[in-house]
Amino acid sequence: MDITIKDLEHSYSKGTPFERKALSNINLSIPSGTFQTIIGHTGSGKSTLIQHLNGLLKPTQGSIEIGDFKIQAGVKEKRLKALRKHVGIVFQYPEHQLFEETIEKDILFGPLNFGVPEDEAKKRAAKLIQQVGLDESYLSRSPFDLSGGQMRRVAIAGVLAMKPSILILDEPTAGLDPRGRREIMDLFYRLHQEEGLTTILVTHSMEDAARFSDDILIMEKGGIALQGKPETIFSNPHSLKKLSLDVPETVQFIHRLEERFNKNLPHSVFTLEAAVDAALSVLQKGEDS
Amino acid sequence: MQNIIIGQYVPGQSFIHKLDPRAKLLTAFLFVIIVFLANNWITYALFGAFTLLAIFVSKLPLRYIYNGLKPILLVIILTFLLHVFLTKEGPLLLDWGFLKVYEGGVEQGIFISLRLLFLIMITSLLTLTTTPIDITVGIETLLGPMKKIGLPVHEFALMMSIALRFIPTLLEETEKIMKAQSARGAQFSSGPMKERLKSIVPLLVPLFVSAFKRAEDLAMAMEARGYRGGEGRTSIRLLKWSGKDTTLFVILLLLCVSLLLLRS
Amino acid sequence: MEELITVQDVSFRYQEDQPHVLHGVSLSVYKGEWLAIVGHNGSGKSTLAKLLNGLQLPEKGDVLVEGYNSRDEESIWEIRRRVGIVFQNPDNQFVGTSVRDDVAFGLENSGMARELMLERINESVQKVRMEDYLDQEPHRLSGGQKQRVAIAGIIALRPSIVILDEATSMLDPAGRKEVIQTMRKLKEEEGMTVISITHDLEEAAQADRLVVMNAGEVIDEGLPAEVFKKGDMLEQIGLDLPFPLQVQRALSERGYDFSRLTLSQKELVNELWTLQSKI
Repeated sequence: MDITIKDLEHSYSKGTPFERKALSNINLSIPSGTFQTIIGHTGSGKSTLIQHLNGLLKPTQGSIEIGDFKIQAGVKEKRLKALRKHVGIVFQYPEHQLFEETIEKDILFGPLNFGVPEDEAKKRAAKLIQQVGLDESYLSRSPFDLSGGQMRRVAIAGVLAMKPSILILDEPTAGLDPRGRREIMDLFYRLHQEEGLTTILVTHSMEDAARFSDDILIMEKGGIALQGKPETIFSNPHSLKKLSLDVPETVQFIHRLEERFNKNLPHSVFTLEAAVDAALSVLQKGEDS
Repeated sequence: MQNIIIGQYVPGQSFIHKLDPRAKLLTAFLFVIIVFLANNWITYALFGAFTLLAIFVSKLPLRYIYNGLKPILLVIILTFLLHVFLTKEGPLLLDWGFLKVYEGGVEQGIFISLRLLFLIMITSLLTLTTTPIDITVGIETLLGPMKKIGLPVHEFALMMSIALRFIPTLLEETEKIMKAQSARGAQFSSGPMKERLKSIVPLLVPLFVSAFKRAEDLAMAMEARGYRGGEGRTSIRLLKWSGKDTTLFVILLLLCVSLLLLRS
Repeated sequence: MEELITVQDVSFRYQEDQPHVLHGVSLSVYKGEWLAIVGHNGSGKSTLAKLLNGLQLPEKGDVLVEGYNSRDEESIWEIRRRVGIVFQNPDNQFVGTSVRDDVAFGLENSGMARELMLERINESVQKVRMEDYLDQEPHRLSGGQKQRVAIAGIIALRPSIVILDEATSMLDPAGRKEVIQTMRKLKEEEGMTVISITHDLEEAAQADRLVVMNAGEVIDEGLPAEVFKKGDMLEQIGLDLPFPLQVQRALSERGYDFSRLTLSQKELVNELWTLQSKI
């Protein structure tokens, strides 16, 4: 499902003395199957934006089209529930949404709400619990006996069980240790590739943004500050610095090498291997001369 | 969720706002007692004057006072009607056969309704001009002597202030969990009643779990910062009894004396 | 160097029927140092923090803070006054209804006179640059600001040691920087001893000394440059080496010899320059 956002504006507490504009003038289109990353400081409007994509927040101006659903300011959308079936959100610290007695029941909550037959939902749960890195024996256990990291995996399985075609991830790795972070991001990327999910990732990690995205959106003060492919966005560190954002380490490294060795190097370097190759190239060129 | 107002407090700089919370609490308490001294038109007028003057001095928009009255307006009207129809004193005013209204009944009805009205106005004035935390500190100091007879005054005050501190946090949390469950297809605000009731569990369980976790963390943090009960503890919050507060009590005393002289 | 904390052969478990969370842990903390204790989630590092200020007592072994043993009931309060902890969740350690009230909390507990409290509060909020927020309510502060208030509440008590127990793991990058810079300043200007418990090796690389924990045991200890030589071991226990070290290791595998370990990009690029000019 393609997503098209037109002139979106959102104000909190509209019409009260506390009115606060959180988003304005957002125009954005996300073609089906894209890995879209959204970056910005806390309070830049990222969370407000993504909550519009499944009708948790309604625009105060403008419209959002998702497939053949349309959410418009001032118009009541009757098919919100149908829309939510297609758009899954993994919120920050999703383990806080667990509530059932057993892990299986919790994973089933979403699918059953959306009318998936129980045996089909159970099949999904059995498959997903393994995909998130736990085994089937966990299904009958209480989610509250797990470690924080395991609870997070169960919560993620609960969202995936709805089989959304659009998956929104709001800082899904916050608070995890490095290994946990890597495993979770690898899982999402695999799903993105294997199932063709449209993935929208909100993150503070420039490394993840560089590694996974087809397109990066940088938000500031409720508007879009920059947008483009990772190589475009990161080729100009100065514009990022102006927004007090960091550049991925790999990119920093390339820029430092270029400066010190006075050489031009490829800029779309976002993996460790590519950074090592760049280092090798300056060393080997040294050997040639 | 950024702008939740806890309690009813309306910030301001008026004479009433600046009074010591203890003075306000005591006044409200005394007022509740002496309002029963009024028993004729002139004493009720005196109370009316006192109440209106207090509202005027507080510079609060009347809207807030009215909002405080709204929920019990019906009670006041009911009390009025009960007295009008059930008191059989003085000359007969109306006679509808089965319903007879006497002058004494009308008078009684008006008096009782006014008494209720004044009480509510004065107590809302207290909560409208005093922050919840100041009320808590005020109560703690006023009840201080009760510690000797084993009343857990400090614990109560601490509980209140922690509750006040965490109300916004828990409201935010509620909103977050509602959103997360809505995204998983739960229905909170629309759909059949049965569905809506069912969605309470997915909201309440996570809220309780998180509240317990917070309580546990908080207890540990408090202990780590050397908390060991109220014994030997000092307080940063200082209540200052000033000339204003004494003035209030002089006025209150005058009101009392006039009441005693003027009541019949 | 003066030894402030001594942990001697400490074992601990939360309940008798549960496995041990710490086994025979021994370590020392010296005055004025920045000690990083690293390990993945569940390695026992946060439990260790709780033992360091008497929130938990060892089942076996002793914890001594400036001579006070946490086993003596009388000593506990002396220990807690000397060792402050900034916890992980900024919301769950904010006790007061305003910044001033919260900073005052520890002082109130110690029974300090109000005049002195006000002085201490002003002094400590300035040190964490929160002086403009004294009357602010906690739900209007960012995570980084709340953690700075927590630091102010601790330093107001003039402790000798501040423990950051994953105090930055729930913050955004800006908040993380705020907190680390604040602590660094306190260490440099006030000679504060800092124990930072973290799984972020980038941050740990800046420490004076490192203690590595895994499965409830101290498995390594030393200067960052020494510990980081064992890159494979660190990765095995689930930690990520800082980027410059990863690049350096990959190059070493291809036969390039470095004279020293590079913990920052700047050092790495300089090393590469030296290597290239040697060739």
